[in-house]
Amino acid sequence: MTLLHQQESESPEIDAHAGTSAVATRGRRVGLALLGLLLVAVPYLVPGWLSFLVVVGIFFLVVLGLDLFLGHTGQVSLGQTLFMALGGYGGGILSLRLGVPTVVALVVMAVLSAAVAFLLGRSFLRLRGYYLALATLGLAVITENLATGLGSLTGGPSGLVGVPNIGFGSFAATTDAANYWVILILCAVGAWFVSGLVRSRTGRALAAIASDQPAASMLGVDAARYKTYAFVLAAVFASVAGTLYACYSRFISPEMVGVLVAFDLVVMLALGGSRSIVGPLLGVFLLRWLPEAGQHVALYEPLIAGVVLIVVITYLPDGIWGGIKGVVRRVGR
Amino acid sequence: MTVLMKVTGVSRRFGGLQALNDVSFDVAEGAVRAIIGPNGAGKTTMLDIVTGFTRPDAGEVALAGQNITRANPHELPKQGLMRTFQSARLVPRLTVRQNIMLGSHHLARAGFWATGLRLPSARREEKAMHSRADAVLRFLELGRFADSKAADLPAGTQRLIEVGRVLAGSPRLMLLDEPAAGLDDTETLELADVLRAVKATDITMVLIEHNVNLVMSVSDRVLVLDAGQKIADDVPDAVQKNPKVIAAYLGEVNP
Repeated sequence: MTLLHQQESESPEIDAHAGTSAVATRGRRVGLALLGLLLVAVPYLVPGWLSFLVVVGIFFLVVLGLDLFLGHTGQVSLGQTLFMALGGYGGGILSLRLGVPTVVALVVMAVLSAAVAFLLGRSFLRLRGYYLALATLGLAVITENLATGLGSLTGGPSGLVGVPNIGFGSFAATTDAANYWVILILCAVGAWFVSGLVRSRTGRALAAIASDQPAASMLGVDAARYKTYAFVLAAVFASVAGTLYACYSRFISPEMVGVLVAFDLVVMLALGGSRSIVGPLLGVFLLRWLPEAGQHVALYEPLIAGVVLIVVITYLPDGIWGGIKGVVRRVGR
Repeated sequence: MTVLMKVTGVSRRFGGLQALNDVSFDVAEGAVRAIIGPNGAGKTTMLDIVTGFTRPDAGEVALAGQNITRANPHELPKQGLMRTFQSARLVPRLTVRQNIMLGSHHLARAGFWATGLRLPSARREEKAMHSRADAVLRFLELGRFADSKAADLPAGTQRLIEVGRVLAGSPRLMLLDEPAAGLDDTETLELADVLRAVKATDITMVLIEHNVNLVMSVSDRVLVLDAGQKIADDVPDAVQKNPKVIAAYLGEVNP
């Protein structure tokens, strides 16, 4: 410990993201500023897109959390819909049946989801690779079945209708624009937290676990603990997104947290590219845009999504955003 | 001279194979202790036991007087024990500097929340780890590779970076698992220079190695294992002349 702290005085000017070069950091900052500007301008530029973008934001939050667990830590979860359902149904039931303000319900369900993820993590996170994928797929199947089967609590196949808009006290986000701002702020906070995390001691530990767990542990990385943290954070993001989804749609149904959605989340990440902020955003945008891109496209949506996924996974293993970055790097040389 | 690590009566059986049979040895503080032996002698099993990956059936491993036989691997760096691997196990997607910063992971405290929220304490630690990694890179004269991806470098360089990663963690005891395996003669000489430089910084080393020249040129004391048994424990010159050692090695060449 002493050696580490003695060095502080002689440290030269180092940017905040230690371990990365100054040029890359400046490029990232300019890019982020432009993206931020665009996102703030969107409600004025294309007000007709707002309802679509609200849903994109909701799914972005889920995929961002999944990226920490899958992309950065190298652990597959096909069961993130469990936590979306906890947030969505839990938030809906608390606010609809017990009159709890939706913001409070959102926080309560996020804490509960964290606890569930923590407990599940203790047994699940010992599993590796395919076994973890299968076990979490089990969670997705159970989630959809419980949402349908627990009719008296969840409203059964027809879902829970009349969930209040997100709000607290006299404020309620009733318009698309209001929902957009709420979700934009939450996504920005989430992205800020994750990007700080991955460019730090924690991020390096997660990368070490993803590439070689025994080697990571010989560096003093407590793999079980870090995997649990990542799983819990992913669960919290999914739960918050689930509550927002139910509040925005005024409704939550088994279909919205079904097994197909669980797959879609992983597809979105693979499509856009993992271990970034733009990748998940791109993936969610593309996959949610397909059904909106006109009736002809909507008809063939699963087919198109499938073909795009095969092409991307075969030729762009780092997703579309990873491919773009690769091209830029090669041109820049 | 004080004893830093003490291995007492360690045995380990895998099915019908007695991988180690009642092996004891000491590692003196500041010394380079080599462990050699033909293939299947039990060197790797011994390393796995010392680093907590395998539990011995009998016997004890103590580090600075503390029993570490049942410790988890991830607890050992804090106790001052770190290791390198037979083939460098760097994180391919991280840069060389980030890989070396990983070596000081156990010296820092900032947790999940502190790093995510970019708390001042976490940033201070990050800066300290950064400049420490740069100091290690200067020591190894590898500064020009700081921002390269680890996976893009040749095996010999990766091996040195792995040694650097351990150095960043200021261990008391560094275990090196066949560091010269797969290196050419120039790279092996470079490695020997680095090991001598590391030794000069008072870090104790345990060197598991096949390359006899490297072992004889850097180690202070050599433990020879054969078929799970200790057959010699002496200074390099005496080990080279030991008839049992010669027989064990000749036996491997001419079965």
